[in-house]
Amino acid sequence: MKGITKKFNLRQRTIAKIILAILFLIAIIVSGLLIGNDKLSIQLDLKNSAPSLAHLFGTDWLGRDMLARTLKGLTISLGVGLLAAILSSLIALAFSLLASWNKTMDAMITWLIDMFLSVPHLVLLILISFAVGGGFTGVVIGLSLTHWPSLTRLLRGEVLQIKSAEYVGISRRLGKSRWWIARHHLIPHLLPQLFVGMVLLFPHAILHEAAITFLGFGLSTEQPAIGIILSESMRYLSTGMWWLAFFPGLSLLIMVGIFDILGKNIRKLIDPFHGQKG
Amino acid sequence: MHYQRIALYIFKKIGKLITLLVAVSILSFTLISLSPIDPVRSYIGADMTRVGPEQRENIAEYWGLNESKVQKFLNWGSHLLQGDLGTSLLYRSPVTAIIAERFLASLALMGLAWVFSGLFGFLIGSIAGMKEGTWIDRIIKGYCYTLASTPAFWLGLLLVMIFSVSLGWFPIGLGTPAGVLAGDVSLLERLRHLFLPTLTLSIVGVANVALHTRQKLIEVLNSDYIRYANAKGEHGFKLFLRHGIKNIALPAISLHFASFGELFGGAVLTEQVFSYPGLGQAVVQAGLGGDIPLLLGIVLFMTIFVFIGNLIADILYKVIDPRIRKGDF
Amino acid sequence: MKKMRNSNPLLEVKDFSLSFRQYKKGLHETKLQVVRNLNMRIHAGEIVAVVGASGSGKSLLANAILGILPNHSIQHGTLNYKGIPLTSEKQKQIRGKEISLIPQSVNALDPLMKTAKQVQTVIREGNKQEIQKNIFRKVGLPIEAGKKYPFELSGGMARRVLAATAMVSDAELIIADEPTPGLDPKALNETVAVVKQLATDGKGVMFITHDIDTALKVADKVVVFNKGETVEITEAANFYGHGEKLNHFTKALWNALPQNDFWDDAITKRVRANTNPSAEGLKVDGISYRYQKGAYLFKNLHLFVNPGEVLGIHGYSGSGKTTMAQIIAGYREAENGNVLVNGKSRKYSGINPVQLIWQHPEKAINPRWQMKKVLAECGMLDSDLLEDLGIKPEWFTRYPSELSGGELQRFCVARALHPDVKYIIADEITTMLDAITQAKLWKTIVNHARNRNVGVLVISHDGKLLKKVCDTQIDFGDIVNV
Repeated sequence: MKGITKKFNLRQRTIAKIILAILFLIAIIVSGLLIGNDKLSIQLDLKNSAPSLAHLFGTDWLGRDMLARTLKGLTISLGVGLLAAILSSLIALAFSLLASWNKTMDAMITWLIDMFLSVPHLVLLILISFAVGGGFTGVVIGLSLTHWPSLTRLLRGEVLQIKSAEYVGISRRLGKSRWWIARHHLIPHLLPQLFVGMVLLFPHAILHEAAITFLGFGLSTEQPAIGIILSESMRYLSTGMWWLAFFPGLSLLIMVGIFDILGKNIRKLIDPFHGQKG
Repeated sequence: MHYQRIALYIFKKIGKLITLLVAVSILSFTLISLSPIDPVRSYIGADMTRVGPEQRENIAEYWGLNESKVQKFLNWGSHLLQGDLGTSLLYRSPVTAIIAERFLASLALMGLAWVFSGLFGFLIGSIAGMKEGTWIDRIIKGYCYTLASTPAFWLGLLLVMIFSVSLGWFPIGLGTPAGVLAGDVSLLERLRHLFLPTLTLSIVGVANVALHTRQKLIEVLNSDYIRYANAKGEHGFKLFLRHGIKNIALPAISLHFASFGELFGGAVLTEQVFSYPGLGQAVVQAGLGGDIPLLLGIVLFMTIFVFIGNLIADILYKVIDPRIRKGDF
Repeated sequence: MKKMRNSNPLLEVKDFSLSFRQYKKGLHETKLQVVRNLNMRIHAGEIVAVVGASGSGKSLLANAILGILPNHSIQHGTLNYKGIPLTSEKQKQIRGKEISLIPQSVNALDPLMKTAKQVQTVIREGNKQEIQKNIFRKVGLPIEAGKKYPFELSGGMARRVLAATAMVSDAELIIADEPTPGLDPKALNETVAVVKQLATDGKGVMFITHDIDTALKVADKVVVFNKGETVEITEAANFYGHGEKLNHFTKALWNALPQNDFWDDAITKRVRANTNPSAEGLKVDGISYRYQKGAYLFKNLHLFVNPGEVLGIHGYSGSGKTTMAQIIAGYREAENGNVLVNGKSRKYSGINPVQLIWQHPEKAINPRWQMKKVLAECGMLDSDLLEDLGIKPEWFTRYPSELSGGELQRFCVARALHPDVKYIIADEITTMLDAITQAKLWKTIVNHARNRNVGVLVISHDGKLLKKVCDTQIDFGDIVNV
């Protein structure tokens, strides 16, 4: 193994990791979409069976295959995470550009960020789902409205840094317009940051989706979301049916981890001098 | 001169807290008033069919549900200013009393977890930073990244399955054994019930501190003054003690204080898994049961809680770091 | 001197080379050779100066001798200390004890430890406090400075703390890594005296600097470094006249110094003094500036630059020259006062007739742009000037990180010499560059100023340079009114 990793340089290894991560995620989506409702059907004669070759993740108290339910759940989580990450990145981009407009705007945006960060994420999520009435829309809106502040703060810092850069000052003195500077200096610098920020929002969004659903504020109980599966498994905890909670949770962990790896490696490729090494 | 600056600082912070609280109340009140959930319906629950429209009207009247939204906010706000957060619909007692009682329970859980995760996180973060690039660093880093991707509630479920169901070492849930009066529960029994939730919350909290400490230590180790200390012949643990620990401890402690929000988020999930009767469980029940006064009360309370954490982090920097202490307070 | 030469050298560097594995944007791996085939010796009681432009790999040499290079470096060749090879074990054992470093940056002091403590940690025996106080007295530091944190000291004082640390360590070999950047003459002479004292005490000193002038003040021997390669090792005494005793490169370097030939006296014509102040010119009319109600950097400052005139302002780091330059070029607002260009106040559309050239070219160019985009931005892509400045067409497709500071500064000069620009402010623009590039840049700028009647305001701490390039010189201290 060591011999193989030594043979490739850092760039090749980084790209390989990115490709593998993407392939893995595509596999989850495809299998999640291919699984029809028949796979999720109730087969009472197969109920409560432990993991076996036929049912790798076992079956639940209604005889439904846990592997199929988990894959379906992951696909739902992915969809929710994707939507939420895109929406909150857009909010973050808009706000950070607004903040760069003038000092008053900047103060207002900073204040808004502070306000959103001063309420615990999960409490704010509960409030928003309560307001929207839960369900898919509730979760997506809630996640989008709670995940933008940290990314906005980061982007705002980048904008401020670029704006005070000497080369931007020189550009102004060379008679370039604000819009020209935004297009040629600011946005090319910001876009990669935004993209990486968005990919790194995924894991957070997905974990929060599962959490809020687990608490009963998120997706409705008819959908086989991971949060639902896990909260149902609570009822069967004392019966020793460990597979009900173990595999779905582990799968979620792996998917979140893959997104994290994906984001960090893309960042490494775009900006190798960023923070952590290795 | 110095006292004047301290006074100004306090004044500024209080001002910030007030504007924050006002903004959060308006925000949460607006959100809640948008909700399609009918509080009367959720209050009555399954008995809906047995309650006539007249009775429902009476309940709504009693709670002041028929007034305009602005009026409702003003009513609630004016009571709030007198220290009255209203009465919880679910528990039928004053919101302040419930928050006080529940918060104490949560505080035991969160406080212990906070201390453990801080100490342990700092320790392994320091080790990883010192040994950057070695196998031990890789193990610690991998462990932290895995933890960061782990759903807190799932971890709780796993611990219950292992320690309570399979091994039977710990009770499955609840802060106290069922059927025993709260006053009669022994300290040992309480600790037994506290153990697993605390463990869950501690494990979850480790990743953040550890990764941050590692990062900061690597930064410090690459700094000019460490390179210079190296050139002066200092190395190993002595170097870490003399130049490293001071320079990384402060940011780590501050970060830990500033993470009260996430700590409470973790507590909500953990309390739910272990049916631990803390504030986290209360907020979930308030949300699910449409208990608006309690929900609003907890939101405001948590805002203050998080604010205090951030404030302590801020003050620590100002009091301890000589660069800021002697500079501008 | 002769006797020492025969004894065993304290430090011997033989065929030493050093390279780094480096990752650029997109993680392209490259091997960056920073030092090639270096040879040198230092004897006890001898000061050897290592001279090279910034970025020529001098500081890395110091780190290699101490064994504190980052992990991704690769080295070849021999390093001997007192005839014994410097293995990493050996380095660990003797660094700080027998070899000691005076680091380049004042950031080398632990920000959270009082300075007296930092000096005391190096002392191995005896009354630590007593020794530390003595050494503070010796380098001219007040005793109270020991109770302060590094951030409370001025740059000059912090430097003295670093020197004091090296002096108490009783090391036999001292490596001084660029200890005199931008110091005013008084502080510079003090540092030079401290270093000479070390050699008189019988220690060997490696004095790393980019400034030949300072090197010649302290050193017995000079090692000239260019792009990681030793160009010449010679006695300091050989630097005289037109450098007849020096080899080709060193000779060029020596002759390019402002006090020597500089530009072969190609430009002799001087502009007449300011005869008609009301006519065209850059007029700085009574500007004042201070940081947030602090002390004034300058008050009611007046200046006048004629078209085609090269006006020099002389002053030391931290005196507010850069702030003044930024105000004149419109980067900052003055508290009061005006800047008038040919009688008119500045307007904010189109290219500003007053352009500032900054000290650090790496910061003045967008790191994400290819160089041709930099030229396109200012509309100078097909200017004849590029050839004059020695800008090669193959540089157009490179990124700033792939060019040296001197090469980048040429682009910055080209940018400022746009046809619409009437006045240029040059703020320490060649301080970081080698003498040859410095001479070349100034030749182009002054020529251009003469031909196109552009006024130039030159700001520098280097009196010799100003004397060479300017028609008139003003001391910054004389015009600040504080």
